[in-house]
Amino acid sequence: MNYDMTYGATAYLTFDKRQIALTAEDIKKPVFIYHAESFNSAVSLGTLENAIPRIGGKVGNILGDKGADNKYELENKIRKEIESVQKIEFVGPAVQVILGNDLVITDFVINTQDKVYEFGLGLRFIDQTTGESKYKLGPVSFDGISVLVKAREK
Amino acid sequence: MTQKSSECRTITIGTIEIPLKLSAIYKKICEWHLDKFEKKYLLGAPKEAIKIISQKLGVASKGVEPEKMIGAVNESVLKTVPPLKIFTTNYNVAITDFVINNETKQKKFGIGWSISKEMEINSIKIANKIGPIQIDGVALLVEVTPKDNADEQNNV
Repeated sequence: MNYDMTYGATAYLTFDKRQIALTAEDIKKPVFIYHAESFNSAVSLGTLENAIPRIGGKVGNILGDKGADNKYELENKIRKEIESVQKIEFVGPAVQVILGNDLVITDFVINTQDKVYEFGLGLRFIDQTTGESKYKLGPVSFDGISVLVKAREK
Repeated sequence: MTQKSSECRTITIGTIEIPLKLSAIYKKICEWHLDKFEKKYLLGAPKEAIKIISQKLGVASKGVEPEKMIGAVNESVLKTVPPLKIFTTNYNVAITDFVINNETKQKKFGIGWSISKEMEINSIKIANKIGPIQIDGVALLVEVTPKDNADEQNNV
C-alpha cells in the first residue's frame, strides 16, 4: 500500500483561556486562517475597549515600538472607521450597536508571504431565549455583524 | 443511506480517549480537534508520536515514515513558520487533530504543543511568533491519502 502525504500546520491563539486554531492547508505556503463557525460559538473578547488590547497583545510588531500608546491609536482608528459607516442607511443602526456591546472574534488570518494580517470583530444579534434577531439590514433580519480589520506590513 | 452520529467511534491511543464526532453526514467524516493543550494528550517525542498514530490509523507501512514527516518541516518552512522548530527536537508533543473520511479513506492527524515566550528545548530557542503575530501553540498536520483503496488496512 502506498500513500500520498500532504502537510499543513496549525497556529493557536488564546483569548481569555479559550483557544482558536488557525489552519494552513499547505505548510510550504503557510497562510493561517480561522473563521468562527458561528456567532454563538465564537470566542468572546468583551467590549471594544477590552477587545482591541486583547487583539493588540497578539500583534505587537504591527503596533510598532510605542507599544501601549499605539494600541490606543489602533482602537481610535477602528472606532473612527466604525463611526464613519454609521451614516450609511440600513447599515448604520446595526454598526452603532458594536460600540457598546460584547464582541466576539470571528476571523483571524496570518499571511506571512504577503505580510497581511487580518482579524474580525463580530457582534451576535440573536436573542438567546427566543432564537430570533431584532436587527435588520434593510428588509433582511440578520444574526450578527462583523468588522474586518486588515493590516499590511509596509 | 446516511451515516448516523453513533457510527463515529471513540478511539483509544494508549490511555488517551478521542471521541470522534460526525462533522458532515453526506461526506461521512469523523473528526476530533483539541480544545485545550493538556498533559493527558501527550504522546512523546514527535517521531514516537507519529509512529503511534500511524499504527493506529493502519498506515504505518512503506511510504509513511516519521522521518519523512518531520523532514517536511525543512529549513525553508522554518524561515516562514519558525515555531515549527519544535518538531525537530525531542520535546513531548500532544495529539491535536484526528480526522477520518470514510468515503475517500483520507486520514488526517495533528501533533503539536503550546508555546510560551522564550521557550528553549535542549538549548534550541523555539520562537513564539509567526511574522509579527504572537502565537500560543503550533501543530503539524499530516494528511494521508491511499493511492489504492482496494487492500487498505484500517485499524481504527
